[in-house]
Amino acid sequence: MDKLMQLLEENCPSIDFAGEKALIDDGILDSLDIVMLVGEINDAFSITITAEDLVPENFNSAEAIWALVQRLQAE
Amino acid sequence: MSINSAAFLLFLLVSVCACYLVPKRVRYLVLLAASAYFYLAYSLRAACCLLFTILLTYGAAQALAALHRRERAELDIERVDRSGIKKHGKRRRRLVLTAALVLNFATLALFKYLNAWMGTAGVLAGLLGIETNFRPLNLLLPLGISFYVFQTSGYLIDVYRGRVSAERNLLKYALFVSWFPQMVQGPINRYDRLLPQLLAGSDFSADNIKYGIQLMLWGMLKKVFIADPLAGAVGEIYGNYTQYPGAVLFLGAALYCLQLYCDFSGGTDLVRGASQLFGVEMAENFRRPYFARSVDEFWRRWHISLGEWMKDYLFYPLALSGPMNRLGKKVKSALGPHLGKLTGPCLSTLIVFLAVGIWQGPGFSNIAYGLWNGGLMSLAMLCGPLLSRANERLGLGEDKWWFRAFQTLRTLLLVIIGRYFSRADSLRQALGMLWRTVRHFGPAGGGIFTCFGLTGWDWLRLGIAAAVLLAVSILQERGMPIRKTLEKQSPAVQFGVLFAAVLLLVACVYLNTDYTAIMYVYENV
Amino acid sequence: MSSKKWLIMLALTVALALGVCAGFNILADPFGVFGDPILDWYSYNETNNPRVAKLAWLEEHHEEFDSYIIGSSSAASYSTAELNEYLDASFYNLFVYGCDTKDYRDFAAYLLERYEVRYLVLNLGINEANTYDTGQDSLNDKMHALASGESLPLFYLRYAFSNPRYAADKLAARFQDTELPQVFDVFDVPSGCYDKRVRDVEKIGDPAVYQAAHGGDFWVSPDSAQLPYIDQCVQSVAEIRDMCAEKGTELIVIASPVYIGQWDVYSRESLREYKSKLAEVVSYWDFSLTPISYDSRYFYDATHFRNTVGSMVLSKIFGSGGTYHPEDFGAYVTARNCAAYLDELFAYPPASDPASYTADVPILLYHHIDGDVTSDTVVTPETFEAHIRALAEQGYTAVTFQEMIDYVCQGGTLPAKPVCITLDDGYLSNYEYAWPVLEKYGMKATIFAIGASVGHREFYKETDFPITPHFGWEEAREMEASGVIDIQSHTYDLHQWEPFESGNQIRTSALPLEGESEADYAAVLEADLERYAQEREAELGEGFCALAYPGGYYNDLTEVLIHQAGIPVTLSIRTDSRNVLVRGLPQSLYALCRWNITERTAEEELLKIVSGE
Repeated sequence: MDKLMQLLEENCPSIDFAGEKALIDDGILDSLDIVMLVGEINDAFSITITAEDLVPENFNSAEAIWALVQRLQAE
Repeated sequence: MSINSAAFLLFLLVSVCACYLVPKRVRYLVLLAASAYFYLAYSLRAACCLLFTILLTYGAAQALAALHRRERAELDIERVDRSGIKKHGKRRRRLVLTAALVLNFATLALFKYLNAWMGTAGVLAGLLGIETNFRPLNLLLPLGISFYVFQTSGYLIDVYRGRVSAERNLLKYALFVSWFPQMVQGPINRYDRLLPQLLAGSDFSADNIKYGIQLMLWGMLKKVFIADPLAGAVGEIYGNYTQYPGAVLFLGAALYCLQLYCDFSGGTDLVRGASQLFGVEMAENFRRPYFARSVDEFWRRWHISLGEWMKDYLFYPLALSGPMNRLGKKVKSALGPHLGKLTGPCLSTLIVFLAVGIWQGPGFSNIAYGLWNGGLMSLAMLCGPLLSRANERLGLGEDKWWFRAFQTLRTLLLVIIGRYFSRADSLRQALGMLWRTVRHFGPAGGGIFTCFGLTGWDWLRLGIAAAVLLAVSILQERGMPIRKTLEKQSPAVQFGVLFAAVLLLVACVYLNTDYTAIMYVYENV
Repeated sequence: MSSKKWLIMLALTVALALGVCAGFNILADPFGVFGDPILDWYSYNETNNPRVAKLAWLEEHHEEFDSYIIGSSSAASYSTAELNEYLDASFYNLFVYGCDTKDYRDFAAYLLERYEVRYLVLNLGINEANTYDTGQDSLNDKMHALASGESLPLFYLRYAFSNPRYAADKLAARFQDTELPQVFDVFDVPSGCYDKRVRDVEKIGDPAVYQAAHGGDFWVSPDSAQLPYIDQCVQSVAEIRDMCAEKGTELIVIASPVYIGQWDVYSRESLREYKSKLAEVVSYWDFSLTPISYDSRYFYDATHFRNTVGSMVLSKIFGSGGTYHPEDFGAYVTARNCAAYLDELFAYPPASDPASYTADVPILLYHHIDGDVTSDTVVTPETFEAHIRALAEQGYTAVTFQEMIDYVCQGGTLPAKPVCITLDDGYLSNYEYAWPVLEKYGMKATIFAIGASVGHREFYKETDFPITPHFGWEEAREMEASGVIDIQSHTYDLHQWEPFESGNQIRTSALPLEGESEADYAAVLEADLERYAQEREAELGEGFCALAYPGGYYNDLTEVLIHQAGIPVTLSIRTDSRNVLVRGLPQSLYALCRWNITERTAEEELLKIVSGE
């Protein structure tokens, strides 16, 4: 989780990932941010996030992203 | 049945009454019947086409669901090679999905693009010295096909991804596809948002009726009082562009911006209002796009449902695909991390907007329109960090109102240039107009004041309506909920607004009824 | 305001707004459906929708009529006044533009069922077999529910809630209304005919000018070589025939004159089939292909023959000479003679040579004759004589306006090389120099004298401003008696000389004054014509037949008023077309061109003008 937070903050320094719970629904993360983040996360955790995983529930908060990462790592 | 005709209003009245008179359980059947009537009144042939799409996507969704079930059943038994089963299942589902999507988009291509593309192919073949005798097919574009093909395809992809479960009741599914308010000008609704509302059967609510009517009136104002008269003037300017100086052509493109917005968003408001009469809220499609401060933002405010569709079903899959990833890594090692990271998004953006351009029409000018927008957005992505650093140095920030205004105007300018392409009949015309705008901007002697085929009254009416639209848009942009604010006013004010609205309604209906000025009635004295 | 209240208010306001619209529509009544209670302007209503407005008008006025004309817009060219005279009846022209034979049948049924009808004139063109039951449903084309059998309440509802712009247009048009017809009031309400007063003062003659002005009107689209609705058309006529027989009404069927271009659109086979099938059900007068069919000047456009041709048709059927029509004009077709008649008709009589019914008459214009040439309106006696001698030597024969009128209206003849010599204003010098010279060479001339100046030898009218001497009625009588000179009108007093006049209503031409009302102008013009005619009649024995416009100025209203007053010839000073007189076309005598001859005009030039080379 710490690794993820560090990665998120490096890529999007202006966003408060710890506090925001509706990153997608409130339009804080735009599609470009998401695509770039996904690339970084894929590389960092050796997983493959696909378009099917790109639903708001998976990206609305740092916790949700972490849950997604764990789920994909498990598979 | 045009959506701003008296016949449509009558149809709405009857359907709304019928809808609230039957029990909620079967209400969807009334909605389906109304939709079927609306569509059949338009054309039987088009209805056949719609039915084909419904059956195709229904069947495909059922097949996908069956494959899902089978996979789960196999997984329940098989404990060892689970990933093999998953892989295999996914391949089969992908096959079904691809086949269904190809067929679905093929109908759209057949009606929307075949004639134009065959014509182009014929010309190309002619250049190569090959004789072709392709005669254009007599195909009437079925109403709403651009919307329902996308809507059903989105649904199929959602079923494939497992985001929604397939609807088993064919009639319910048919209602989701053919719900009549979305047939004319969209929006492209999402299955999980629309169908539950259609099936829930809301209680009769005076609020819903009132808001629905208000939304419809607002749409009519935009459509009948601004878009319809402007269409004539814009047609005059684009049609005779060689006779006008560049300034007028630019004005024409700007007027076309207004016309298109009022026609499209006005029509959308009208049908959203109509839908609300039944207690069904459809997706919002416009959020005052011309206030956008970047082209990217413009596309998040303009035809939102198409943009969302493109993002979810085209942009992400493209940007996150294996090949794009590999390409990004290659570029990264060759040109550095910044470009490497942006390769995927930029290329995907270009492809998405190419698709948006093609969605609008088959011509090269539409393709150019898509590339113009995609190119601008890619450019903004590439230069983004550079620009923000420059702005920081110069002390330019979004906290300054004039800088925001500058950004809005700059975006507007870029959008207007895009409109040269989206309205022109051909790429050659669009480029010719641009050339004239740059090289012959001023009038070549003599005044340029003309009414462009409209009367002074038309312009007055148009000006007043546009001023009201601008004022309301600014208030909305500042976050004021217009209807809520209105409700708090004194009864006299409310009544005044209501009275103006009724006048508007009557005028709209009459403006759209057949009318022949007496000077055209009689020609041979 | 709660939502419920809001909705109730909405419903009430909508009802109110619709009520206001309906009230406005009923009171302004742009289609004449509701009796046009305020404006009573049926010329407008009939223009908007003749099917509805004419029947509504007839509901109120049918007692004034006992006979009717039914047909499409070409039937508008039959004059009810002429028919009334020929048949001692009172006709109403119930023609409707864009009508087909189903409408004819409906109209006939409507008339015969509701009213007593003595004569029913049915006009059939060839296009009648090309369309059938096109009955359109728009407000402008609908049939009145009285004749169509549609539900009356629905019919009235539809017009009550029609677009209020129609009513607003009518109010706006009311402010632009003038004496003469405009696009919005093209009907003459009491007769039911078109009001063609303006259209029929168009100067016609020179074929080149006519072609330039109307070429496009005679373009016909060769879209259908067959006549697809012959059977329906003939069936409708048969039904009308039976209805008439039942009611004891005399049915007169006329196959109307057709322009050759329109005739050629259809195949001979289908035209022949149409004509012979028609003859099987009813005997009819056929004027479809006659010598006039070949000359577009007899037609307004490809599908409408002129009023004057309508007069020829009626004269042929009912008249006893008097009105001109070509010798080989029309025939009565019955089932028995039909085959033989059609054989002859389809042998296509060749177009007659225009020389047999047209004549180019150049008109020369002189004024004062004097040794002292001070302007282009003066020639010396020597020059004048040289001119007249040259004309005589070249074999020209001078003609009078009466001879020209006879040629056009009665089928009279003109000499081989006609010329018309005119002298304006009525100067004494005409008496002193011109008359003897003309007499010497056996020529004739017309002097357009200004009534108010006749006999004024020294001073302008009652002033003491000196003027060129004018001859008096005494000299005029003397000249006319010789048969050389004809005195016609240059107006009584509409050629005033501004510097010598006092008062503020100075008329230097026959045009209306600025801001003058049409009624005031008409009164002045008619009084002037009347005064000249009276004075001339008192002095010379009869009125006048030709008027030369002072300064050459006139407008449509001037022309309408003058021809309405029975003056068949008017003259301008334009020189942009030849004066080609056409038999049967009164318009070939309108606003004739005149070539002003000056002292500098050499004989060769004069002969060029006259010969038109």
